[in-house]
Amino acid sequence: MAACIPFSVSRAGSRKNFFCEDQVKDKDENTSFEESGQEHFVRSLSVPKKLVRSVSLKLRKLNLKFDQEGEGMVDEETRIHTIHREDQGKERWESSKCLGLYGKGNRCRVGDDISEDMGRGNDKPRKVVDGDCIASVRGNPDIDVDCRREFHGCLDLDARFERLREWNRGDSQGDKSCKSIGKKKATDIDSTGGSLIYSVDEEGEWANKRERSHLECFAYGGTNKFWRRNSKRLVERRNAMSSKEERHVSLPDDIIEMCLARASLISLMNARLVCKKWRMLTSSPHFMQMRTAYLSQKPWLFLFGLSRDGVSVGQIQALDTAMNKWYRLDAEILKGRFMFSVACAGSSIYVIGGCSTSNCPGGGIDKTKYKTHKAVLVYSPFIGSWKKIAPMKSARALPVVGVFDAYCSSNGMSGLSIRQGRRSIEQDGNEEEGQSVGKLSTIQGGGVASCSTSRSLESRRNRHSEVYGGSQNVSGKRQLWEVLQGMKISGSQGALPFSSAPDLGKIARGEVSAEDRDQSKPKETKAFAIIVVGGHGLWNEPLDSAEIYDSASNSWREIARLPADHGRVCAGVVCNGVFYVYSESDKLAAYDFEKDSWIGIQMAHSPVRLPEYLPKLVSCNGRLFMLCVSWCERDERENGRDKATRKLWELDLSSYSWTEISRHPDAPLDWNASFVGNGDQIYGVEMFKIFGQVLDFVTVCDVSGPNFKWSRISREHVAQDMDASSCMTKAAVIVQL
Amino acid sequence: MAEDPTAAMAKECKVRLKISDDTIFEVEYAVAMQSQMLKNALSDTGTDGTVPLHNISSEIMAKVVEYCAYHVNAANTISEKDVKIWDQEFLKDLDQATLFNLIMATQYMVIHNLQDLICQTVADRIKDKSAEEVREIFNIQNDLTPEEEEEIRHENQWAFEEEGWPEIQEEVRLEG
Repeated sequence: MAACIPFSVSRAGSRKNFFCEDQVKDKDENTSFEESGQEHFVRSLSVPKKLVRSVSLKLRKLNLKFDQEGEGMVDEETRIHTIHREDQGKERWESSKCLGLYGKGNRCRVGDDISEDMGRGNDKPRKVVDGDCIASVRGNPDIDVDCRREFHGCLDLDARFERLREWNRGDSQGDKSCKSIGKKKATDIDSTGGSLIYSVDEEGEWANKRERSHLECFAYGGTNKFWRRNSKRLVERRNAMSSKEERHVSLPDDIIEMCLARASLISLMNARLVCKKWRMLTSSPHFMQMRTAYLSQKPWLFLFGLSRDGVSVGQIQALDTAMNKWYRLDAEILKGRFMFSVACAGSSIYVIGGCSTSNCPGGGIDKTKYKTHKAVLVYSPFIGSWKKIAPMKSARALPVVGVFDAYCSSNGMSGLSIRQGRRSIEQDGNEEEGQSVGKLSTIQGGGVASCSTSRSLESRRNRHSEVYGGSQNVSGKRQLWEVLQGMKISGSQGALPFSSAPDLGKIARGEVSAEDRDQSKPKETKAFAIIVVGGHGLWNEPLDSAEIYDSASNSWREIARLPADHGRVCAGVVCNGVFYVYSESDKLAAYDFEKDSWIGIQMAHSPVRLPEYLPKLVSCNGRLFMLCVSWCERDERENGRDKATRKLWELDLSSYSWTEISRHPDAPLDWNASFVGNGDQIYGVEMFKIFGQVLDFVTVCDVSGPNFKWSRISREHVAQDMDASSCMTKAAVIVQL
Repeated sequence: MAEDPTAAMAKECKVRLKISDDTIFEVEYAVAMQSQMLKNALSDTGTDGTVPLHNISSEIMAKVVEYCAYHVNAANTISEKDVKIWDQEFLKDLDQATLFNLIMATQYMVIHNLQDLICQTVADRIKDKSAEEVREIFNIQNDLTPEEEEEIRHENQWAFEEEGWPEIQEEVRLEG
């Protein structure tokens, strides 16, 4: 009769033995079975010597006993050899292998009810079965009876272990059932005589998984119990399993919408893949409004117009400024198109005009010939779609663009008109005296919706405005202040067929009813206007014409030309509902919507700047800024050389004087750096070729703070493989997504 | 208005809320007023009766009361930053089922700040997860056909491609 030789395989290398740490052996190796069974048995247990001796004594006794008796029953299922005993008048079965060390009176407790001992009142009463190493197998429904038999019939340890391994590998050649089960569970006996259930994780790794409490024959059963209860992994698993069962709560749609509306753009992209309903929820215009209401949109910087090998790449680079990560969008439609202007209105990007190289008759691209476009393409990053809107009246390359957000169109007929707080002109036919200025919704991208700021007008009275009349304007000179005050954009709550600004407060509180939601669908986008000035025409001639796009009617309308002496415009932006343009001859003009005319603004002085660098106008929260490069002051000369710096100037909108706000820390190497404003930040993108490669730098300045410091964002170079002409053709825009 | 003296008196009262398993929660008036629904209900019926809230379990109710009680206390005494920290802790270890039940209860009881907090927490939880993981969290079956999935992926393809550009090697900042 072979002695009970347990495995000493343990894969939990980190598990401590609570009893004899100094005797902890390397548990990972398979001990050899060359030594005598008992010694091996005892050594792997790492038990105190006294106990060892008593155990070995008992074992010897046992073996002798069996040798003598040679009788008993073999349990059918588990093949446990048990002996019928008479003990204190009770019939008992005693496992042949039990050393009888455990429990009171040191007798084998096979067949006893141990639920009390275990201290778990809610458990079903358990019976102790031999050494319990096999009990788990017996009770385990997963393991086929035959397998079990095989397992236990095989007393050769090596074979047993091999079988276990096979099972867990799943390539056992034996029973198929064994194979499938073996993958999940296989029992084993660990060195303390308790049982371990090995199972294979998702990672295919063995894991110690003790799922039941067993009463071991030896005192070390306590170890297992303790470890089991406190094993972090086990506890987590238990929790995971129980929570899995409870987790059948499904959220109603409106709550899902509320949660998703707060997620970042990238999370939303994943959310759209979840199921049809989610895709629909995240695509509705109402959802976009919610995102705006929750202020969960972050600024994204889109960079266009990079070129490689002389051809404009069909790609857009997008920078998530919140996470400082660049993404690349494929835009085949833009391939070969360059020198276009970009503007952002709503959540869409408008690509206006530009040129593209034409194809040679024999294939390939003729880089000397190109055509200038009238077309305007619209890209919606959220949906990832392109569409075309009505083309401009004239083809333009690199026009100056401005966006008027959220204005009211009149009854769709005459195009644009502005409601004022004062009496308006008869022209537009709607006399709205004393009409209240409604509150405006979102402030996005280029244009800035106004709040009616009253300006100090007295100081301006003395300034003459030179009114550049359009052909229809005959009313002569007007005071500048009066005109400019009139140029406010207000969202009226009056009777207009569309563009009722959605009540964002209501949306934020989730109080939008179903009818509201439906109503918002057709009028999904608020009407806006894009104004386009200048640029280069079909024959590369500079243009001074201008036109305005009305989103409500999807049409362009020509407006008054720039005054002849204004010079070529190089920068323009909408600020507080007024479109300002700056020319290369340092003149500032503003477009008067209502009078359809350009008003020259007399500035106190204009910053002295280097003409090679194009100035840029930026608008932030109703403030107008300009970036231009100039020589620094005399006292800052270094080594006798003049230093050129890029300076940020702010225009005081009442006195029309420029104040220097800050200086850009980088040397101005890009003569066509792009600057865009968003909220309180000004983002700058500079690209230039240096040391043989094209580098790009993105910087940002917060104009609200006391120190207008420029800081660099994004440590990645996106223009690495681009060529130097990208500097000239690049265009940037900020979209709130 | 005649309401004012009674309102002052009512502030001392306890409001009784009876929930799904017929347990009664007694909360202070101020705490109950955090919920718009209770506010409306009580202004009609007064604080004498018991407000039935049959679809809320006691575990969830306990959480809601805990939140409201804390915020009533914290309104003037505790700094905003600490309140935010407490809020995060409050929701930190909740499992999905509890969180979902909590948000539904909050919506029913119309408690705006808790609702916002939980929505934001849920949005944060799904932040860096793949679609499959999100499905698991919300227990949703994927009913998109492979073609549709492909279509959506194509639409948003840029968000899935994370191009790693080489990092800036040296400081090429020229100070002119």
